[in-house]
Amino acid sequence: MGIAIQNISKQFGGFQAVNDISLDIPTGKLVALLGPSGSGKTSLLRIIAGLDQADKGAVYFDEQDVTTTGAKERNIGFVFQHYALFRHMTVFENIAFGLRARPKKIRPSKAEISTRVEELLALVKLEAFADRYPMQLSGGQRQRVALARAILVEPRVLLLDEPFGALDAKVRKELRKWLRKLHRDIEVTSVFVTHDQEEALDVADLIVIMNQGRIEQIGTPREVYDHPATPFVYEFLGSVNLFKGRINEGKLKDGFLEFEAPDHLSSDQEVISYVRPHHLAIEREAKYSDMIMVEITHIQPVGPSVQIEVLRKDRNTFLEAELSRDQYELLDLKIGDYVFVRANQFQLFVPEDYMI
Amino acid sequence: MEAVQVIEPSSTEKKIQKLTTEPKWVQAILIAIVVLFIGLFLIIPLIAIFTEAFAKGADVYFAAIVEPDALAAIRLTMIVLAISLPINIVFGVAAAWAISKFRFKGKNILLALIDLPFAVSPVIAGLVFILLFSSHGLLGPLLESYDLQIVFALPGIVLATLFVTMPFIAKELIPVMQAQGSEEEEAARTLGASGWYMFRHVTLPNIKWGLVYGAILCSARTIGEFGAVSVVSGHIRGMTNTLPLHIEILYNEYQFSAAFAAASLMSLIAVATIIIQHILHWKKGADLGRE
Amino acid sequence: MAKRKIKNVLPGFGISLGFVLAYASLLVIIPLLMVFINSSQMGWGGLLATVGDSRVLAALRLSFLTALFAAAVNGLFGLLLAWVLVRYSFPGKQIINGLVDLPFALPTAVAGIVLATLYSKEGWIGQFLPFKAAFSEIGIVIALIFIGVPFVVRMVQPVLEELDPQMEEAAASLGASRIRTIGKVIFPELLPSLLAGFGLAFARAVGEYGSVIFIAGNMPYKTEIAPLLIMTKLEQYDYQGATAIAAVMLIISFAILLVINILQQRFAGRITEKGV
Repeated sequence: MGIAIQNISKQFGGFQAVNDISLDIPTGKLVALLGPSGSGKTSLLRIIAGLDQADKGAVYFDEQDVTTTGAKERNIGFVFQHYALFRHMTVFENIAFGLRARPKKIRPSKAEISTRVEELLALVKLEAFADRYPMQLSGGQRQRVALARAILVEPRVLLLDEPFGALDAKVRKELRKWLRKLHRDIEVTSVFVTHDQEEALDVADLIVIMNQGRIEQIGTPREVYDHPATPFVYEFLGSVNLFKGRINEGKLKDGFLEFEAPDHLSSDQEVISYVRPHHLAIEREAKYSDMIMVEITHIQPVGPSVQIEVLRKDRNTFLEAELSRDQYELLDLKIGDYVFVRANQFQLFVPEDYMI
Repeated sequence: MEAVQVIEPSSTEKKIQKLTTEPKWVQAILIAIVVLFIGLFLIIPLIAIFTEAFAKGADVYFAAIVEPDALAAIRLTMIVLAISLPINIVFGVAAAWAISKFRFKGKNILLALIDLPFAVSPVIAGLVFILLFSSHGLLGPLLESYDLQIVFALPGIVLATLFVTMPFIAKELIPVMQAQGSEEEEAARTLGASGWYMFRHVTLPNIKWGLVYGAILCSARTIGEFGAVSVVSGHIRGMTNTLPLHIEILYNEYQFSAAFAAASLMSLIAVATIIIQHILHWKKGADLGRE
Repeated sequence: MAKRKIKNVLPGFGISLGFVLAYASLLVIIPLLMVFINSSQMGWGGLLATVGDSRVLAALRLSFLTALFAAAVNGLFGLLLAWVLVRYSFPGKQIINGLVDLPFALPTAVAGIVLATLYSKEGWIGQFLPFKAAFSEIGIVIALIFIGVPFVVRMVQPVLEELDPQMEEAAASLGASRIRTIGKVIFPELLPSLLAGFGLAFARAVGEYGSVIFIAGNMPYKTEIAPLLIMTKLEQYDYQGATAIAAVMLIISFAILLVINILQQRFAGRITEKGV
């Protein structure tokens, strides 16, 4: 079931949480709403769920206008950030709740409910915990119960609010893998909110990057990482080096560094060039005319790559570079070495709207 | 490789004083002061109630309790409790629900309103109902035409009691429900539960202990209420005397042992109330997630 | 554009709020308004004459002053009690903790007769006192201290329990003496709840009736408290008089509570709703 969001706005007190957002969520996809706190992502999720009502705009499930329908009637599954398990019910009773709460006429029989619950317990691998209480479970286990509970009622869409936020790193990684697998098995349209870019990049089919109530970019993980549309996306997803200056003769010149400007930018305009660390090339000698000299100040191996902090000698500011292990070993770099860098990929932005 | 030198800690006679507490002698003095205060103001009176009650022997004690007027007083007190407690529970739950689960303007005013009876003297609480319902009062003529008696009768006593005990259950439940938040109820709604189903299966079990705690507090106050009921009851022996009023009458007639006998009964209830409350306090703490 | 229906996810807002407002209005607001409506019927002149009567003034002054003094004593000892109960351990602590609730759970009439008996000239305590306790203002204060014990303690205790020990450790590690730490770091945190407890104890004491009338002696101009005077006037069918005194008592009590509330807000942050 696809979700269409049209011009949704929402204010809390004087604060504009969601600012005229329109979005199409395709059927069966796992979509991440990614952004810093205050970006409006949770507010948007709750509006999709029917837990809060938008001030303006409409929400459609397939062709059906659900804008004024309450959460109870929307047939959604919602997984809360802190699980919201019913503390006085066992795991079994928690999961069974949705079916038991149905009015007598459409309620399945006890036996049916039992069977369905047990299926789901097997799916989330918590069969042995059916009679436990939430208090007795770990964070990861509670999260799985919350998911099972939401799935039991066969919702049209699954909504998750920072599902892994409260868990520690290893559990988070496992649950991410598990969520991907679950989504493949169940194939229900899913939207989850997160502030963790690694999580979004790892799990989602589609990422919606939000900031201050607006959408910055929508795209696949690859698209948003390799081709960020705005400075915010650049800075939010991964780290970035900034070079400032004015356009002169069709180029931004910063020291010896040169960045070709696209034609529509006029001369003398202030621009900022964004360069990812792994697009900063390091050489022992100044092979190209547009290289600057730097001193290596810090080397940090991180997994399969090496992060290198360098100090530009001309401006006395720091830059971040990233090399693969092989590249690093080839160059045989040490702290204190003097080397040369240039950008072999970059993007220029005009800074008027963008505050650093 | 050089052996690493291990330095043995020299045993210290003086223990290092913890940063966050007072020296022992200060503690001892404060504890002594506090114990003396409690002993003087609370313990001695409590003991005195019972010694006075049995001063003339156990026979007189039991005779005083089963004496008809005393029994009538006890019965009346119980009736008032049976009527007012359910009403207070409904009010308390409704108030806590409205205040803790929703956002709206004027919440502070509502909270102050609920607290209002605390700030009003019990005598004034009785007075207001006299002003309304006595034969000289505002609605007096109206009531007479229907031959209804409110003050100097059971309804008046119930009303005065309701006035005085209005805040108790609400004040107990509001913090409990606020601390629990709305997420479980929201989850229940997303799963398709109707309002009543959600309330019965999710909300009530969660506030169970807070509700019982509040009900016990409320009950203790109900049966012990004196001032308001005194104004409103007319002191008609055997008919409109609650147990506290009965005690007053006995004392004023110098029937001290009988008065204290009845008082000892109420003290037992009070102590039982306290004990039950303290047991429930731990259960209530568990409800708030502190385990 | 179609009209938007404002829907709360959680049901029952209308019913619960409506019921609460209706109940509180009928039970509390309207009856209280009666006091003011009745007094206004007397006009300012009549009101002032009634209240200005020296007996009435004496009663009002007595009620407010004894309540103030008793509440202050309870403020001090309540603070000590809360401190000792939260921070120290000693045998019998739980019993004392439970006893604190006694004045709250005990009927006022019971408290009244036992205190009167204890502090009379032949009483267990009264016989050792060099001054007259029962049937004097002192007796009134004693009774008011008794009934006010729980208020400050129970308000300050939870705040003390929630206090972060790291604050004190930080102060101590920066070189502050224990007294300075208590005075400058801990006490400000307790002040709002202390004021709230004091306010409640005061309000309760001003209107207290049952525990006072037995020990007071009830002599007009000397040991007659205002609530008793109201009661007396009622028995004489002097509704106007009773109402006038009640009106004055209500106004002053509300005013004092308001002041304390404002002071409390000044010294504290707002208590915010906690979500789980």
